[in-house]
Parts: sequence; structure tokens; C-alpha cells
Amino acid sequence: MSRIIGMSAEDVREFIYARAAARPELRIITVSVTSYPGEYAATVWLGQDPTPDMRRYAYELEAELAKLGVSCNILVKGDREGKFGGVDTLRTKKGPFSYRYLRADPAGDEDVVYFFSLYKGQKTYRYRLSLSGTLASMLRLRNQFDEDKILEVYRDQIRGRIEREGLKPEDIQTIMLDSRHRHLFGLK
Amino acid sequence: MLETALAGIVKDRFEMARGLLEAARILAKSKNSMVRRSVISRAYYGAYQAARATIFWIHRRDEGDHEKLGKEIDSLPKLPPGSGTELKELRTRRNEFDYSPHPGPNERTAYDASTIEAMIEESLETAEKLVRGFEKRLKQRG
Repeated sequence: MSRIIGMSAEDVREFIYARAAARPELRIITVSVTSYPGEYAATVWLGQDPTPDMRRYAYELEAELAKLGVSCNILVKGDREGKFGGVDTLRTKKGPFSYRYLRADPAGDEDVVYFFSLYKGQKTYRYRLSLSGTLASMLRLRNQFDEDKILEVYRDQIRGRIEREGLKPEDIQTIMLDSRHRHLFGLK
Repeated sequence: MLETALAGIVKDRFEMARGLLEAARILAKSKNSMVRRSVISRAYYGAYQAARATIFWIHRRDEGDHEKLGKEIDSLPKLPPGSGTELKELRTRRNEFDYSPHPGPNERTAYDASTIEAMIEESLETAEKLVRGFEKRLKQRG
């Protein structure tokens, strides 16, 4: 089976995201789609350990796409499977955490979205950070768009959130920085 | 006679699977990190050949489609749960490592060197485990 002409990787990503988001038991971090010769490969990343049923759900999605003439290998994976980013350490007043991060696809007004999974013992703490479209545009327009700097600010935000508000292992903590936070990037 | 011919086809595919895994083990010993990356491709194809032989022997039909094979394997009884999903994961990893100089979980993120090495080792172990599972399954046909 070959890829359908006119269905881009982004179309496939949106299709999978819309289907998966309709299932409340799935805590979706992001959906990534990569294009390979003759097929797509997609991963539905979850902020939870996938059950066998959740993993089998990938077959349903593959079948739906196949009916549209799209060949796509789909995996459902949990962030504790830990195959994204590198492992690093975040030092906080609540102790050190090892963490991994993944550059995720934006939704709505988000830009530069990163998903961080922090680990301490058996527990995982999850944070989704982004810039608002306005702040990202300001940084680009003023030549201050530096992804390493953005990551540094994101790590500081997580550290601050942990130290101020403590840890919430069950939730995905969402932090969106907007134009009020421009000073963090050296903008007036 | 038909049974003997079918058994011959299955035997050939398993021999190929074992040869591919042996190639993977040889590549894993290379000092060149780019050569070591090819372990994943050989490991995947080793598991693929054994999976294909298993489906052929049980269902008496050939399934060569990479996309369908995982599902077919997961639908077979008496195999370790999730074997088909593991095969699919190997396939995804094979694509990541064969098509990109900077493989990663998506096009925006790259694995670091230590993760790459761990994934190479893990892929070979997974493929070996899958092939052992398929061999065991063939002995309990039905």
C-alpha cells in the first residue's frame, strides 16, 4: 500500500490526535508523525503507562488509515519508556530529579512546545511548556529566538513551580509563557 | 509431501532469521558507532523473518507486509503478550536509525549518544527474545 496523495504528515498527525483525544482514558502528551519512503510512522506519547488495550488501539487507528489508503505504523508509548531526549539532572530545593524532554507539536496558540518528564524513584512528574504565539513572534522579530535559552527558561520555570507549589505526580502541569514573561528572555 | 515443503520454507526463513541475528551480533562489536547502528536493522529483519515463518506455519499463508505482521503476531495465541507490538517497535526504530543521521523519537528531538547505544543493545536483545518465542511457538502448533 502506498501513501495517499494529498495526506501530509500533518494531516495524519491531526487525524490520529483527533481520534486518540476522543478517548478520555488516554493522557496524550503529543503525537509525532515521521514520513518515510512509502509510509508514515507515528507515535502516540502518553503521560501514563499504556495498558495492553491502549497499545492494541494502535491497530484500530492503522486500520482506519489503511481504509483511506494511508500506510502508517503506529505505536502507543508511555513517557516512562524513556526513549526521548537525553537524561539530565534538574537540581531543586526539593532535591535532584532526572529528566528527559521531547519537542512536541504545538496546539492552538502554542509555540516551541516541550514536554518534560521528571523522575524521582518510581514517581514521574510531567510538565508541558510553551511560548504563546505572541511571545515567540516577539523573540523572532527581535532576533532573540534561541532554543537553548528557551530550554533554560523552561527548566527554571519547572524548578520554580516545584519549589513554590510542590509536586503533583498525577497531573500534567501546563505552563505557557506569554508577553508578560518577556523579561525572562532579556526583552523589555 | 505438502507438509514437508511447508516445513522446508519455514526452516529456510528461520535459518535466515538466525543468520541476520548473527550479523547483528557481529556489527554490535564494531568500534565504529555508525556501523553499530546497523545492528537495529539486522535485528529487526531477523525478527521479521521468524515472525513471517511463524504466521506461514500456523495459518498456512504468507504474510510479508511489514505493517500487517505485527497485528497478525499479536492475534496468535500461545505467544508472549505484546510480541507483535515489540516487532512494530523494532520496525519503527529501524526506520529512525536507517533514514536519519540524527535519529530521534520525532523529527524535532534527537537521542543522545548513550540512549543510542542502549537502544542498539536493547534492540538485539528484543529480536533474540522474539525469535526464541517464535521458535517455541512452532513446537506447539495449534
